[in-house]
Amino acid sequence: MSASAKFIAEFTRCQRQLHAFVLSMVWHPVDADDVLQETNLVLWQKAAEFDDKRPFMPWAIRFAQLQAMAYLKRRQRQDCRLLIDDALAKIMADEAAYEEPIFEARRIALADCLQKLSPKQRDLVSLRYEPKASITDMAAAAKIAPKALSERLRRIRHSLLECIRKTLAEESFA
Amino acid sequence: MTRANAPLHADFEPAWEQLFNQFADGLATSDDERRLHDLLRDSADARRAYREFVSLHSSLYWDYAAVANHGMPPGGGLESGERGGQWRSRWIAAVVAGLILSGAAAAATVALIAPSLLKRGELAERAAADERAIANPAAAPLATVKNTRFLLVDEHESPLAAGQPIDAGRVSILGGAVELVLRNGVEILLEGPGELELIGELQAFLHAGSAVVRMPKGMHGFRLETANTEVLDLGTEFAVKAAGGVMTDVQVYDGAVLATSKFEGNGGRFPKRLEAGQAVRFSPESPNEPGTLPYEEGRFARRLPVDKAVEHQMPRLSSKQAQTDYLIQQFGQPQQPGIVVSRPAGPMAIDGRLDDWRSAPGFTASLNRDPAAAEWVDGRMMYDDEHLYIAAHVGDPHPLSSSIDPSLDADDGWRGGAVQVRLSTDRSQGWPVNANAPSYYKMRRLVATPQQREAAFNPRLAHLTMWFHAASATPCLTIARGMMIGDLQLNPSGFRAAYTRDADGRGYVMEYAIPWRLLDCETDPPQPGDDLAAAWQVLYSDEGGRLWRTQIIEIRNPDEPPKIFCWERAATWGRAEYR
Repeated sequence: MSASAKFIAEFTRCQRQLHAFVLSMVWHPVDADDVLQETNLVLWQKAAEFDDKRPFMPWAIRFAQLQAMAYLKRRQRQDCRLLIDDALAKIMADEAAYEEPIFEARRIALADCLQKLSPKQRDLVSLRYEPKASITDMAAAAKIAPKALSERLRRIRHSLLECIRKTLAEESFA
Repeated sequence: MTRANAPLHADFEPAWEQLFNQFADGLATSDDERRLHDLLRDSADARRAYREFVSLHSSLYWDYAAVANHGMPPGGGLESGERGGQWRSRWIAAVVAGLILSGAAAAATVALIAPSLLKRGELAERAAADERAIANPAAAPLATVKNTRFLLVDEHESPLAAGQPIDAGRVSILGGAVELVLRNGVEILLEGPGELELIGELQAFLHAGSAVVRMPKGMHGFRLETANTEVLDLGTEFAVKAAGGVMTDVQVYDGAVLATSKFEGNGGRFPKRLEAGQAVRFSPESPNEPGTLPYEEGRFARRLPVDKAVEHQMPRLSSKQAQTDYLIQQFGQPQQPGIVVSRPAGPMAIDGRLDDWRSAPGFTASLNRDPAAAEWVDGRMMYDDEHLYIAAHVGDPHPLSSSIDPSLDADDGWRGGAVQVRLSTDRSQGWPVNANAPSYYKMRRLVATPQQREAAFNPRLAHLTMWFHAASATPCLTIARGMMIGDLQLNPSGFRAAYTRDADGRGYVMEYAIPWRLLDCETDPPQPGDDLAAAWQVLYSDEGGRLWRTQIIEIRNPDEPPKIFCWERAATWGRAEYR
């Protein structure tokens, strides 16, 4: 496989994990998409510098970290809030970079766990993760408080996390 | 930095989970933000829990949104402003296309590709074409026709023949079957009548008919859609049948898939994981849950046979024993169907010692399957990005005695005692390989078709003959390409080899390093996960190293009839699993 083909393969494979990392820093999924786009462009520009004998994710996540921080600093100028500082961002990037195998295993386990939800729970997840979904709009439509709706989602997420852990434990990942 | 032995799951404090949840739903206050910052700064456990939580949130957003919004009708475009999985995958495809373009042109391409303006086929074609043109100007097309059988196509469609390149777009057949190999090694067998739209290396749309998708080992992520279902491969072989635009059957032969209905309904859009041995039907009658079908092994064509083998006719011999002896001498008694070709742990020293080979799996065999025979072999293969490595410890009563002078009789190198390895590096052929030597047809009074003639010249097939010329103490190598075994390259520049004689004089060790460039695949050598073809012959001579007397043949395709020489028919070669 040529170096460029290797780069493209790694680039494609790491997208989900980069998205998760960026989301952990910026929180808003739409913003995470934007930061991921910016990160991808930088990765492309830096492709020639990538040493294909070294793992891709630690290299790529460094650029995601910088792009996410740049985004947070831009946002800070607007609302004077900076959720994550540079030092913490570096720690988070270092730790996330080496979680690739378990990240993939979790993702696969999730598919099974979703099927174990009740139809009502599935429906709620379905609505929550629709593009452009907002908890406020959903709560208004359901005529309940946003916090109450979020609590329902918390319980679902909790059961999914438990299920994923159990699945992975059974598969000897733990 | 995460340590390798760090726990993979966090012990969740309920308060942490509550906090993370506030963020996930956009309800966090500035106090929550400060708490989160401090928590993450101070506690590695909290960071681990946080990553676990966010990976769930991201997966739901990414995967679930992708699945939930994949209800695109065949040939349909994207809704304006759509976000989520489809949008994202298109964007990635656009960036990939951009990645392989050069300089400003790439920037312009990425900037100009507005996902909402592109239709699926356009983007896929553009990405595929760009990737081909820029990443490797001589690269293969998106797919190649590997084989066909009883193929019937509409008179307005282009005919499909083995070896024919296929670009992104629709492949439509009225009957029979066509087997395609994608550039990345994914194999798709389409049964007619059927129509398959190739979108990219990891995506296709089955408009009608049945298709079996087989992934190379170690690869996953192929997405096969129908009008109402999406099947995501998790490293597998699976079959899909699309009928009438409303019904889709999925059957898993190996590994697992995630199958997701596109029918509107509460639960219908959730992925269903299917394992090997399971089969289901997605239909409007049960939009929330696919119906279970009986698993029928033979329901789909999984591989097309290579052209039917024709065995040699046996000469008239005086006795049954003579017939048996003849068969064993000519065709051996192979037992091993395959060999694992592994990567070395470190740099290889070509010194005629097997110290570097301890971790390499291989095979052992002895003449006539007799463990006490003086003729035996322990054969191994390894590879890296630059070389193919071959080593063998050979039990031989007359070791390293070949009198075949390479400068005079290179084509007879095998006769005085040698090791021959035949191999394919042609990923588009996979395994088994469909190619026969011209003599195969001649000896059987068959007439080769133009495709069969072309297959015999496949430069990615090689026949290596390795021997030690005693008089000059020279390790020798000849390489023949395709199935043209008489057209030899002798001792090409760049190979390295070493031999050592066993202390007891009853055998020898040979070790070769052969650059991939000598096998015409320098830019595209075998990769981990490739299943290709290889065959071994260990030849033994008389004490003078001149007259061939017997041989061990190993690594042979068990589906091929026995009375066929491996030098004349590549389909007889066994499976070489590159790991």
